[in-house]
Amino acid sequence: MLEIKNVTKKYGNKVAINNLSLEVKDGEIFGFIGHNGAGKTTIIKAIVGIHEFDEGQILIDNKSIKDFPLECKKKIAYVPDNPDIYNSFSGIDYLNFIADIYEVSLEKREELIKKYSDMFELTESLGDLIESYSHGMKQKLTIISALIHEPKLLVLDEPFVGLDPISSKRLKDTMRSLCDDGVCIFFSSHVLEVVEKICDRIAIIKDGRLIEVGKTKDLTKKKDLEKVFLEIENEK
Amino acid sequence: MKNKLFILFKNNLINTYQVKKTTPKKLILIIVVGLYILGSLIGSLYMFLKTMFDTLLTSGIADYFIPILMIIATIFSFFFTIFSAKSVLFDSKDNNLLLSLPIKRSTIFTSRLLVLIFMNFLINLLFMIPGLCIYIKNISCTIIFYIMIPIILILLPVIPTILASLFGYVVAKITALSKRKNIVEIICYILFIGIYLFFITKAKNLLFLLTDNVLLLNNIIKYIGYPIYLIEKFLVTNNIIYIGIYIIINLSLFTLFVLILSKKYFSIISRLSSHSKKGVYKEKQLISKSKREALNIKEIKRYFSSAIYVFNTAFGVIFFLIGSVASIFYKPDVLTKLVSTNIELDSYSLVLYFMLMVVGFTMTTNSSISIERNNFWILKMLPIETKDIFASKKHVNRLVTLPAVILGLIIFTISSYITPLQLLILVVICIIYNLFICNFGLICNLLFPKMDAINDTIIVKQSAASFVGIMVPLVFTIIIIGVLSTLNLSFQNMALIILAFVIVLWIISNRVLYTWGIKKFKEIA
Repeated sequence: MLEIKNVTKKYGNKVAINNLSLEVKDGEIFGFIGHNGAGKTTIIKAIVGIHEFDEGQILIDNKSIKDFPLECKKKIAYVPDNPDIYNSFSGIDYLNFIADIYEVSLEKREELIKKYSDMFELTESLGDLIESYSHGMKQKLTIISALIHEPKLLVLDEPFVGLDPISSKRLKDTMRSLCDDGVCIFFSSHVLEVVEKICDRIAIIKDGRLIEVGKTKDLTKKKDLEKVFLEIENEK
Repeated sequence: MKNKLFILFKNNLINTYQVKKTTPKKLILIIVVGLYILGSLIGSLYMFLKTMFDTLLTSGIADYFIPILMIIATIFSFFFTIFSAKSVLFDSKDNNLLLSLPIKRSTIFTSRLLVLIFMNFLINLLFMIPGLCIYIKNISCTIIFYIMIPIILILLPVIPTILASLFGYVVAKITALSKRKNIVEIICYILFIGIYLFFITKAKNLLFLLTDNVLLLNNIIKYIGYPIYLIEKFLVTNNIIYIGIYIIINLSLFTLFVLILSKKYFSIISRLSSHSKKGVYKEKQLISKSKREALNIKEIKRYFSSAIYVFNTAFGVIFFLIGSVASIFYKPDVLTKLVSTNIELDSYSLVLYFMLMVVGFTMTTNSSISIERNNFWILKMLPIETKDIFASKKHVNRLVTLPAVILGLIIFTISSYITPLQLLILVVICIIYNLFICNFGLICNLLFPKMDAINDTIIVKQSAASFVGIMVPLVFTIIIIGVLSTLNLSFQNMALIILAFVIVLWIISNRVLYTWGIKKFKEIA
């Protein structure tokens, strides 16, 4: 579903992503970890078409995001690390706007908005302006907006930040259930326990380079992910 | 205290003008364009002020030149600040951060007030530099004059800034009490404009009346603008005691204002950042829209969510409508008064120039990308063509401009300023010129994006895109008026020349926007 081939991204002389390649298959939850400034958000923004990149290719369902941005974006949903959304919209207006852009049918959008807003306990606040929402509520709204057009690839950047424990649990369950339905999930997080628990495969990135990638069960055969991460970070 | 104030003031300026972020290439471009526009502005102001100085000199009251200059600069900077004071002082994005830091509230308030004063100082220089050049060239000045003039200039913006901030405070106080903050804010500004227009019509030909009546001029300066009266006294007597009093008055007012307002500051900011909730959401039937419609609605909502954005861009069309309604009751001289020109023109030329000026000024697109600020990722991530995004931004500009201007033109036709045929031609020019203005605004914004502004005022009023976006149509209209007035052409010929010109501009801007512009849009992150 997602193929990153030799991608390099520079900010002036600074190399943010250095010749990075990896592949994520359908129905797979792929965890992406690294210290602050390692390049996680940069590669995520390149995948979803926010950032341009200098070299390489990113393929979504075998189509290049550079050459076919619209087709690719229709299959992607993105939850950013900071839920900055239109404050002058009410929650329901924002969800309806997203549904309009992704051309979701009326029946489908009503069904999915109800399903996910009930799940994340946001239904009661959907009529309020987003400017009155807390950080966690905005985060829930971006998650719901990412799910209502039934994406094939879900890209999540620190999705658990700001969520209460119940919503956090429900998001994890939803990720697993989407995965079972064949959706591909690519997500970054600093909460290594969560990554270890729900990811099928994990990649570790440092200074824009991929330094480790493998199945979660292989990486954590002898020690927990935190120790593995710290050892790899120190070694390389 | 002193240090923190300086740090905050410096940071505010850096955030406002993006001093550190500007690349050398862009800096050169800004300097070249800025110098060209400033040069044209100062040049035309020089000619206007020279005429005024000669009139005063002939009447034997050249000493009043500097005080009158100060009055003009004061009024202008007051107007500039009145629509931005509330936003700069109360609506900044960094309120929560600054209030959580160990900094006195009065320091935060003072630093923001200083930013407004600094901006007004720059505006004042526009008038004072050419004015002082004329004065120094024609009147022999003493050494004390040269020493004192920087002090006079530095303190000149203090009082208009305080007055405008006081208005901003009242607007903030009223809007803080209301649920529909933006609507209330827009109503406050419209009321202010109404009051302003009322006084302007009452003060008919005030400037010329004043230059003819020395006693009246002296009394007005003495009782209404006492600090300026002190400067006038200093110019006549060369006694620095007057400058001493001038300094004391300005600094006392500044200190008093800061002391009183900073006590109320925190409660207003808290109230402005609190939002009402509708209560439990009741499910309703959703309405499905096309991508284009959804984008258009999103753009309109964003536009009306910012009072400063609305007012800064809809100002011209409001004036145009007021002018057209007034044309039913008055002869063409009412328009002359509104566009502030003394050139003798036919009524159709007046309407044409007025319309060009208004369509040029009504530019929402030059801020429309920067105004996305932290929400920009949404547009970049969604499956939408860049040209559709541009179209939705241009749609808002058209919506604000065309219905109001066309309605105004129809009213001008009813009041017999223009014929029905002229109406048709003017509508065509208006539509095509607006197409160019929409494109040009977007090009300006793509050239000078400002995605990290701490409030909307910085984007709408103080960014390079807003400056270039307004100045270029202004210079364009002035050139057209200048050239066509001297050629003494018939309406048809004049309209044809303008039409041909705006069509060319529109085609060029379209080409630039849909090639370079799309590429540039993708680069903005």
